[in-house]
Amino acid sequence: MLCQWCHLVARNTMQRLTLKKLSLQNIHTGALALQLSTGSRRTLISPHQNPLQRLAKPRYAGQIAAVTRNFHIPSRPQTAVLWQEGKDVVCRSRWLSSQGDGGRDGEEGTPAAGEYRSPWTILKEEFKGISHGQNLESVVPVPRETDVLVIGGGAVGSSVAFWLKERNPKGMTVTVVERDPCYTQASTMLSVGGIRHQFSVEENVQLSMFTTDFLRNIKEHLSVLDESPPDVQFNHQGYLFLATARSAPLLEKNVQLQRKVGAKIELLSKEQLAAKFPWLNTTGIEVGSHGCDGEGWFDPYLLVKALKQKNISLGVKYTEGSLEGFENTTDHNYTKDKPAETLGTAKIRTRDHKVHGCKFAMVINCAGPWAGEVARMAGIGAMDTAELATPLPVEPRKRFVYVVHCPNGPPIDSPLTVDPTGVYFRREGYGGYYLCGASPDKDKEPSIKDMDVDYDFFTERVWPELSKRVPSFECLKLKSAWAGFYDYNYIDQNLVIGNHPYHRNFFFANGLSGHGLQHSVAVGRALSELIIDGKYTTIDLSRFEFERLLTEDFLVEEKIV
Amino acid sequence: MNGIRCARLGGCIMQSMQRHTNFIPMVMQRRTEWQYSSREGIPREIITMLTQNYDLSKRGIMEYMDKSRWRAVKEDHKFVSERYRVLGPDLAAAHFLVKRGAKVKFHGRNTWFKKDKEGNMYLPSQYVPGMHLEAVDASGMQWSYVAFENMIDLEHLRYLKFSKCRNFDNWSLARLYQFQDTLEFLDISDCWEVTENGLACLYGLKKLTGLNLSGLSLVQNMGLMVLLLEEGLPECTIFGVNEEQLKPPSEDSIGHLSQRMDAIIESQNLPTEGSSESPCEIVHLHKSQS
Repeated sequence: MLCQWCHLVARNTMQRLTLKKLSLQNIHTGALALQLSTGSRRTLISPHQNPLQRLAKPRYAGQIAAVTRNFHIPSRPQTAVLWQEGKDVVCRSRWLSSQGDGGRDGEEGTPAAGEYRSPWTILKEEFKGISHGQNLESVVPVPRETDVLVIGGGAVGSSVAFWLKERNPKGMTVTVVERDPCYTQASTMLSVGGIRHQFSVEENVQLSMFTTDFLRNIKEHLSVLDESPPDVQFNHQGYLFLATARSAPLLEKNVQLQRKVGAKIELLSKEQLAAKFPWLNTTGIEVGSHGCDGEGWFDPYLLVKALKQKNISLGVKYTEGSLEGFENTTDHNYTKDKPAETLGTAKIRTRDHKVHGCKFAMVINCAGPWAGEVARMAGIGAMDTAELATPLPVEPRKRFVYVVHCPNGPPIDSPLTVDPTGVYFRREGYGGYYLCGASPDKDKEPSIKDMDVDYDFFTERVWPELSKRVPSFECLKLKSAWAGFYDYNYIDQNLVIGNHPYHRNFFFANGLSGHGLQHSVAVGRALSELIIDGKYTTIDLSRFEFERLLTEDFLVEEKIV
Repeated sequence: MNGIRCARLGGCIMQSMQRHTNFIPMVMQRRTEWQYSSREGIPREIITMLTQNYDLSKRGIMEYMDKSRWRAVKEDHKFVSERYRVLGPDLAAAHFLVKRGAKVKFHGRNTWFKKDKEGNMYLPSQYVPGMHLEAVDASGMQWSYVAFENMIDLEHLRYLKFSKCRNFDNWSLARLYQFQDTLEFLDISDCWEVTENGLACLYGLKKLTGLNLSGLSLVQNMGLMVLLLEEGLPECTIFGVNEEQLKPPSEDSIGHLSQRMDAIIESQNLPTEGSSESPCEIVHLHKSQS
């Protein structure tokens, strides 16, 4: 029976699950426990988590689920986790944005497909349009069933929906659930909007180059008949990474890797830097790398707007609602003795507090910073079984962006400059405005409770370094600031893509800590290839699959800004 | 239309239509193996073909033809390493440009080389040392981003003219960084797709002494850009800009964005062969208002 089960698991997952050691434990009611052996016992705790006691009792009595890591479920003031006894796991959590009375129990909206509804009810709904002047969409806002459910309608979600629908306009229905249609808290809109090819992992370079290519030909890809062609206001000044003598060899090694992939990066010595960028203070700097071609920054709102427009023209349904939880459906295809359970229905709460059911074939997690919560709703990281013990290591990290005005600042050809201390700045428009910011130190992460800006961070951390590096920034005026969330992968700051080995219809596109916007288009394309073709054809992202979190083959991205 | 594979008959018809128009022949798309296998089922290409939105109206067919023509242009502009290896960088670039309708001039010779009516180019077909490209006049040529890959390692290029080039936009302007050490004169008049972000890329061409910016209708803050460029390129003379364009946009012409969108709507998205209308005429709206 073990062999049968393993064989079926291997056949049904898209990628082979490579475990270091398999050993049998008590077999009880058809369930198996897998013991993963680890070389090093790393505790994967993020700084936001409080150590809590272990979760509720194991799923099947008498089973020893050998979980060899301590995973802690974070407690946040705004999430209330309720566990139902039995098979179904339903999480309820309040929305981060204040959307009315979130704690109230919602009335039942339309149930998912497959459940009986009386024809009289359905007729009444459809004729409400005539009697009340409402269209069908406001009465049945969430489709009762869909082929692909995309959670999150930002850059990554819209891009996944685009590539899926573009390949197969009439072949599959795609629904995008976005709880914040004005994108007030979405990381996409609050990002600085840069795109660079300078990464330390080869696939990341390829992902960025693909996105640059897409933006170059955006009129071909995203034009809609009779609408104005899309334009993302791309600024071509590129990125400039500076390195001290200590970090210079690493920078040069990365540049060689990037050039091997095809990126056009210039390595500039101290004298060349001083000649090319006279506004830069090169004390302490040994070498700099400047991307000349295809790097720069653009307006992320215009990109999402163009994607959304094209998606709607292709037939993607954008739904305003918040995901409440998932419900399982039994799948009799696994073993003849015990039917396994797969995610089948999503519970979506709309603005009028009604909870609708939406039956799907596959669900794609593009929830950005809140992807960890969505994964927990599916049971990933929330159960004690070996298959579901590993959580998705993505959580929100707050970052600040400050808008300053400096009339004598660097000229218009200044790139997005990143200091060795982590402070960055870029020009914004042509009126002497600049955006600047920095990543806080590891132990000084700001609280993610709200989106308030910490101005002390600017005066203590950002401005001193900035004025040291660019002397003309000594006199500037802070005009405005905002805070946004990184969807931070606290293990290796890299993408998590592909399907979960157990919930094989649950796909990830998360963890792009700070470089999500520039990879969004390429990640969407990769996922669509995985779903439709079964393998990655353009860029091979198999190194970023979820299994690497189980086998600890971490792939750390060093160049995080 | 992404999933369409031309049927052979349709391809023949298209090709005969192309032959009558003096244009680059359409590249037939490569067919993948359409084999049914019991493991994979019906090939995915066939299924995606069946689920496409086929627009068979006249407009849809014209759009499809535009797209395939554009793809053929990009295919044609690709870098050919054999040509580069045999002829060297200057002559390879010269062959590439002259064949597609541009004119070139070499150092030390006062004659411009261009293609005559029969298609003869009169350029040497082997590497000749000492022939260096000095000037390129690519006016009216169908341009693409890919074409710049053929113009690498030109160490003596001083003059570039891209006036009225179709599909010469900000990305092409950004690509001019490869000539930053030698370029002295640039003419991008009537390249209507250029906006302010493209002009900001010219800041890096430090040797520039002459710049022609006439007819750039999408640039709304021309005065500001000219000021910034004059700051960054002190030896450069910018001409082609009249007094009206240098004035800041007036208070009356609010709704800039809608005028700009009108201009874009009326212009074509993709370059087509027969479009002789120049979209520059459209946006003089804010001139008449101010």
